[in-house]
Amino acid sequence: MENKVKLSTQDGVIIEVDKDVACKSHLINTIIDDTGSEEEIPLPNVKSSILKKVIQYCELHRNDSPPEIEKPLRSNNLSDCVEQKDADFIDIPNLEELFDIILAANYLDIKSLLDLSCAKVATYIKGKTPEEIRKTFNIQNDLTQEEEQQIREENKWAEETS
Amino acid sequence: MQIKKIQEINCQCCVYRNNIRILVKGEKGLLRKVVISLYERYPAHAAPIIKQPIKLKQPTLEQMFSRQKQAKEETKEVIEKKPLEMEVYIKVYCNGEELLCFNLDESINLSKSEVRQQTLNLQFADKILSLYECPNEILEQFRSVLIQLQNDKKQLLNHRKKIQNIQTQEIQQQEPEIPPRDTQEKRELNEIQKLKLQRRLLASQQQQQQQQQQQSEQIQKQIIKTKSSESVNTIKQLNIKFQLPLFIWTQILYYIDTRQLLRLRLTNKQFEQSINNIVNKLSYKHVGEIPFETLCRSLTKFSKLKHIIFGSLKFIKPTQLQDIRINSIPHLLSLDFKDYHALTDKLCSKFILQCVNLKTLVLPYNSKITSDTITLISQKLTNLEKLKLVEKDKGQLNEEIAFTSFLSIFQLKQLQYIRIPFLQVEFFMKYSQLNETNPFNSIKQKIKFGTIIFSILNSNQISQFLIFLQINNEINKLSIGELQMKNQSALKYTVLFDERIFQQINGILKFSFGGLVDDEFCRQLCTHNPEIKQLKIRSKMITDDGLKNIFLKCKSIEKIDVAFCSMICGSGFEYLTDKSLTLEYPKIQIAVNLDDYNMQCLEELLQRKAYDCKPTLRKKLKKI
Repeated sequence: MENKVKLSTQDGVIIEVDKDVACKSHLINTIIDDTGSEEEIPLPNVKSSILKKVIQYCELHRNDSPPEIEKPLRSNNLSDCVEQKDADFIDIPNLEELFDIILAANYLDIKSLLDLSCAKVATYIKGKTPEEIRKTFNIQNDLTQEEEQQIREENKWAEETS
Repeated sequence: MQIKKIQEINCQCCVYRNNIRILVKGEKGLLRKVVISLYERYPAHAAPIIKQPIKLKQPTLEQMFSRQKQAKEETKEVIEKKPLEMEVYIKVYCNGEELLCFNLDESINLSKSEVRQQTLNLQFADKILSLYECPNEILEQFRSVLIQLQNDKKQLLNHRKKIQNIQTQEIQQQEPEIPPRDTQEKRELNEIQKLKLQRRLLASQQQQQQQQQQQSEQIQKQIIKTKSSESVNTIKQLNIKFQLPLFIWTQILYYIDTRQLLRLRLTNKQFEQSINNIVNKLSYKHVGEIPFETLCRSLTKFSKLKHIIFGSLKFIKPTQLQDIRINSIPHLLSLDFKDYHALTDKLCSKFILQCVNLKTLVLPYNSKITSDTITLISQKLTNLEKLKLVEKDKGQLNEEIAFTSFLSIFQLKQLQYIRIPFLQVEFFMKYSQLNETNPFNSIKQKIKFGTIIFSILNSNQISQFLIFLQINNEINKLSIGELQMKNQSALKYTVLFDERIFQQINGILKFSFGGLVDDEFCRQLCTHNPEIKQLKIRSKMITDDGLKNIFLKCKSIEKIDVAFCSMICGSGFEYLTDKSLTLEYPKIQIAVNLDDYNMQCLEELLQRKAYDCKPTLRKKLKKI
C-alpha cells in the first residue's frame, strides 16, 4: 500500500497509481513530500479520463526521461521528432482532449508531457496559413485592418535567417 | 404563459449562399421560423470575397410547414398575446445525411417578434451549441460554418462601408433621407417567400403528416436519452475549449520556425503578442528600401531579438540608425552590418557599447571603419567569438590599410573565428622581426582569409607564409581566398603549395579554397590529407578526373561543394557511387552546376546509390 497513491479527480473518481509513476508529476511529488502518501490527493483541475491518459504517459516513462524536443520542429510528422512510443501516445485527433492534456500537464507540472502535447499542437499549426489556423482552433481574428496592414508591412521586409 | 409540452418538433438548418435559416417547429405543429440573416443583399462584385458555401441539403420545406395552416388557426390568439415557450430539437442535414442533431435542453422564451428574426452572431451560435450533445467533429463543422459566414459578413460590411463612404462623399448629403432599402426589400422577400412556401405546403400536407409523426416518436426517444446523460455530465465547457493561457500558446509557437511565425502574427492579437516575444532572429538581408518607420517599429516590437542582420538599408542614414530603439539590445548575440556600407565608427561605437554580450559581429571592410572601432571591440566585447570583416569588392584591397591596426583584436580570449578580408605576407615579416608569436595562434576554430597578397614570390616570402600556417592545432577549418601578387596577378596554388605546406595543414579537416585551384592541387591535397571531411572548391578548374581522385583518396569526406565547376560532367561521381556501396560516405552533400542532360545523369546515378548513403543534391544551383 505504501507504494500506491490515491488521486481524486474533478469528477469525483479516485484512481490508485504507483507512487513512482505519480511522482513523475512535480506537483504530486511535492504534495507527497509534504503530507505523505496516505491521504487522497485532490486534483480538482483534472478529469478522470484525462488523468488516465496522463498516468499512461508517466508509465511509459517510468524508467526514463524523454529527451528534449527539438525547436523548431523539423517535420509535421511528430514521429520524426520524438520517440515512436511518444508519437503514438500523443496521436490524439480530438483537439479538446489534447488541450485538456496540455492543461493537465501544466497543472501537474510534468514538463516532458507538456512539451510533447505542445509539440503535437504545433504540428497542427506548422505549414498552415493564419486563416487555416483560425479555422482549426476556432480563433476569432480581433486584429483591426490597420494592425493587419502594419504586420504585413513588417513581414514584407523581415525574413528568416537560417 | 406556458404552452403544453411539446409534441412535435421538427427543425432544420440550411445554409444558402446568402443566408442561414434555422426553422423551428413548435408545439402542436405550430411553425416558427427563425431567419438569421447574414447577407440580406450583397452586390455582385462582393461575391468573390465570399467563399463557396458548404452545400447543405435544401430543407424540405413542405415537411416544415405541413401543419402550419391548421396550427395557426388553433393557436392564433394565444401566440399573438403571449410568449411561446417551446423545447426545440434541431437537426442539420448535409447531402442527405444528418450532420447534427441536438436539443435545446432549456426552454427558450421567444416572443413572436423575437422569433422572426435574429442577427447571427457568435453569442447566439454559442448559446445554441453549448446546449446540445453531438460529436465534436460535427460541432466543429457547424461552428466553422458560422464563423466563416461571420467573417465573410464582416468583410462584406467593410466593403459596404467603403462604398457608402465614397457615395456619401459624392452626394454630399443633397438628397433627403429615405428608409433603408435593405429593410424594405427584406420584408418584400419575406412575404414572397411565405406565399411560395404556403403553396408548397398545401400540396404535400397529407404525406408529411405521417412522416412527422414518425419523427416525433424518434425525437421523443432522443430527448429522453439526452436528459438522462445530462444528469451525469453537469459541466459542459465546450465553449472554452480553445482557450489556452498565453504562455502555453507561446510554448506551442516555439516549435514553429521563424519564417512561418512572422506570418502567423496575422492570426489574432494573442498570437501576435506571443510571437513578438518569441522571434529572436530578424534579417533585412535582401532588402534595401525599408522605410525607417517600419524598421523602428519592428525592432521595437520584437522584445527577444538576439540576432539581427541589417541589409543594405539604402535610404537609412547612420544618424537615423543611431537613434533607433531596440528593446532587446543588451541581449543581442549577433549583429551583421556586412551590407550596410554607410556604417561609421560612431554608429559602431553606439552598438558596441550597448551590445556587451555580442558573440558575433560582422562589419563591412571599408575606410569608414578605423582602428578606433577595432580597439573598442577588443576592449568592450570580451565575449566575442566571431569577428568577420567583409570586403565589398576586391578593388578595396588596394587601399594601404596597415593590418597592424587590427592586431588588438587578437587580445580577445574567446575569439574562435576571424575573417580578414586580406592579408599581406609582409605583415608576417615585420612581425617575425619583432620576435612576436603568430597572432593567429589565439584563434581556436576557424580562420578565413579573403586574399593573401605577396609582394614578391621568393623563398623568404614563402617561408613567412609557412610561419603563418603554423597555426593553432585546434583550428579545424581553413579558408583561403585568392593567392595574389601585389600587382593583382593571381597565383596558382600549386606554385606555392609544396610538400612542407601540405604537412603544415595536415590536421585540418575542412578546407575552402578560392583562386586558381586545379586537379593537381586537389590531388596533392588529398594525398597528404586523406582525412579531409569537407572541401569547398567552387568555380574551380576541376575535372571529372580530379573528382575521381578526391573520392578515391578521401574516404572520410562528408561534404563536397563543386558548384559551378563547369568542367565536371558527372562521370567522376561514378567513383562516389562505387564507394557508397561500402557505406564509406555516410552523408555527402554535393553542390554542382551541370547542364540538364548531365544533371539528369547525375540524379539517376545518385538515385541508384540512394539506398545506401542518401546524398543531397542541391538542385537549386542548377537554375543559377
